[in-house]
Amino acid sequence: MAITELTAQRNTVGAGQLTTVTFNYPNTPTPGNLLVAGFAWRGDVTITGVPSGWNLAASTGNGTNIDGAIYYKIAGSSEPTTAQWTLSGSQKASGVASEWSGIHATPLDKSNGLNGVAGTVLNTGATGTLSQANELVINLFSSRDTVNFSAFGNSQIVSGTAQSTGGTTASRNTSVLASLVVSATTSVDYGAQIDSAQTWVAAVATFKQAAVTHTASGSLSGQGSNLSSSAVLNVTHEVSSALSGQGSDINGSARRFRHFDAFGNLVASGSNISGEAIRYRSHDSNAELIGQGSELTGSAIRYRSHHADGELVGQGAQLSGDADRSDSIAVHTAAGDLLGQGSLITGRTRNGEIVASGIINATYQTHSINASLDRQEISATYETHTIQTTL
Amino acid sequence: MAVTHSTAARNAATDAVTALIGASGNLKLRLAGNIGVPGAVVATLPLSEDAFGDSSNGTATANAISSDTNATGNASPVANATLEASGGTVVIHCAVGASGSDINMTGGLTIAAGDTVEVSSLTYTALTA
Repeated sequence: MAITELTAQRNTVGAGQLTTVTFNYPNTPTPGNLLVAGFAWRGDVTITGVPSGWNLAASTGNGTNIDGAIYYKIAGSSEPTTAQWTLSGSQKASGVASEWSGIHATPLDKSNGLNGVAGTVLNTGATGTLSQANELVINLFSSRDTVNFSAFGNSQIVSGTAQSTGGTTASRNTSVLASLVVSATTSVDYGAQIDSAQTWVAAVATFKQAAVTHTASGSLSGQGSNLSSSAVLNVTHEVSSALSGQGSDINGSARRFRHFDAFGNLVASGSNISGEAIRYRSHDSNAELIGQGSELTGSAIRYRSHHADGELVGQGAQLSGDADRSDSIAVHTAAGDLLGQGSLITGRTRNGEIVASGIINATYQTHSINASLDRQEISATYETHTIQTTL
Repeated sequence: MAVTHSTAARNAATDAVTALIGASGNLKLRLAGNIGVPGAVVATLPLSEDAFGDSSNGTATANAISSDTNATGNASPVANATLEASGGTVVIHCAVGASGSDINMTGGLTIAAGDTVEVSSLTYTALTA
């Protein structure tokens, strides 16, 4: 929740010679909101009484001429609208108070304060690096006499200006409370400018944004992932991935498109790459299947060329291609290197040429290459294993 | 044809993975990274001594996960989470998102310092049926 000032709650104090500093909020503060009061007083007195629940955030001063302080409180239920401080002696004081929402339950982060003599530029001093992003920086600037504040650095937002009253102007002071929400976790040292050189005090306090509760839940699923897609009348359709888990699938089906490719590297056992295509120009199913029992299959109808290529390393691997009515000028290829036992290369075609080839490198003689076709020719080359053809 | 596994096999696989987390593991929400180079830690949630219960029908449910009530925080959103053993060895690396992810999180993906991060439920399945 973003930090927001309730501007309707702004109120000021500009008192004459008194032993109390009293702020009156226009409305009952909202429980959980941050209440801040910044004020400065003339003369050599101290704070002897603090309203219930209020905490000192920062203070500064030169003791004899002007002193200032920033107090804060998280509003409780039934928070009173009045907050009154007591001074150790009767003095003139001025200050500003306001209310902010979206503040952390333990809000104070950094603070600092400076004072100066015969100057027109007031600054609070560096806070040191803020603990978190989006902190509320509240600055109190106060000067001897009734001065005008002509500028505030870093686009601070002024919550209010107040002047003490009574006596000569030189016996009074002018106070401003300004704030800014800072997104960066950086050190801040903001300033203000007055129109005549005076003795001054400045203090800063930073407050953290309300903590947010994030609730997470999840169902983590391991292997067995699927990547699938289908396309109609596309120029190019491609399904590709590298799936390492067992039981993974890459599936693609396409109709009336120019190219269809389903390829990937499937490392674990039992993986499958399959593609099905109708009326397309070329169809490729390419893969490197390392696990046992892997299958690389492709089926196509009315296409120009069809390829199923792969290197199948595990036992029981199968590489197969099934084609129907391919163009006579085209070639249908089922080719692969099958290194395990019981591997199989199969191809079947109609009205086309089929080439089934491969090197089967295993100590057992159980491998097969099967091809069947109509009205065309078959070529198959192997080293030593069984070749079966049906014409 | 996809390979299928028996329930006993899926339970064994899931239990074997969750056992790697050990007795004092953590769930860490992180900036974007991968299992080899995980992103910066934004929040750390201690897992129970038995991080997950025994797998049933291939799925293990996490035992109580302690909330991080004072998150480290980061100006960038979390994108990943890791389930780690006590020494920091990553066992599981997954995605975190607002919805449709491995772990979904409400309250925004950007966690500020001091925020609270809690987990309402978490399951793990090593193999699909």
